[in-house]
Amino acid sequence: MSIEALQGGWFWPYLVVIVVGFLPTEVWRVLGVFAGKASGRIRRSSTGSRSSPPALVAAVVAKLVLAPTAPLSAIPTETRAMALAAGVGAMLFARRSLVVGLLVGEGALISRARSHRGDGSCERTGPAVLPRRFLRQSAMQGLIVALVGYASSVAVVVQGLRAMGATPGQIASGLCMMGVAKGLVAIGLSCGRACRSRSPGRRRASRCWR
Amino acid sequence: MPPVLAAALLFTTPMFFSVNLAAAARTLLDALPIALSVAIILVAPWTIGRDYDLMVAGIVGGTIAYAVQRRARRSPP
Repeated sequence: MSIEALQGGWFWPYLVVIVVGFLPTEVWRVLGVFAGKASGRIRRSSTGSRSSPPALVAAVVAKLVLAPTAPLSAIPTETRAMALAAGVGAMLFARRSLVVGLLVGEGALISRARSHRGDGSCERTGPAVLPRRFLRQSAMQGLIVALVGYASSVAVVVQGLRAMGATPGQIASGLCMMGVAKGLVAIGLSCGRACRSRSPGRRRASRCWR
Repeated sequence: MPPVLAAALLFTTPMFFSVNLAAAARTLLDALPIALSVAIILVAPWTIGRDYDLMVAGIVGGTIAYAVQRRARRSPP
């Protein structure tokens, strides 16, 4: 199957983007917001098991780092583990700032992967650019959640469309389409009746994983 | 897209998850489920296999940590 075979209808590539890059994550996000609302109502007063979500997320992280998919698997395992440790360490060092941890981890991975010379210098890429009270914590957190949600889909969509033989222009418009669709879902979740008072990003970050 | 950049994009998800988890874990008890499930994933290729390791890590690690946390909260030192 290629892009040319789909040229009969102009909407086919967009449909592919929606099915491949948008529905698999966004369906669960919407369901998660509604399910989180329901379960919060049920056992707000009980002791509340807060152990299983962290355990599951940690397991996902361990699997993603130890046995990753194609572009990331080209990077050696010890580089991935070290970048992860550098990011977490920088986050703790920078008064638990998620932005700093994410940036340092990514920077460590990129710099280490590009140099390929092991002199353990990746911790120094870090907290020099730390904006102390640059933005409100919640705005920053929402930005990160949106960025992470988008970035993980971008890699999948770009690879899928390229495998179908799409031109860069077609890939770009597919990504644009995906961004618009994700934004519409986020707006719908924020303004909808399900959680009028709480935005989904903040809810995800503050309730489910703590 | 250069391969390093693609790898970095894929790396955002585990990086953000782990930073968020570590930021939320204030006490040793909070870190217990994380450590347990990572340990389970580490030994999974030789014991459970790669197919069901996620489920086992979540259920077993989470349940053990929950039991320990509950016992610790009931009998404060």
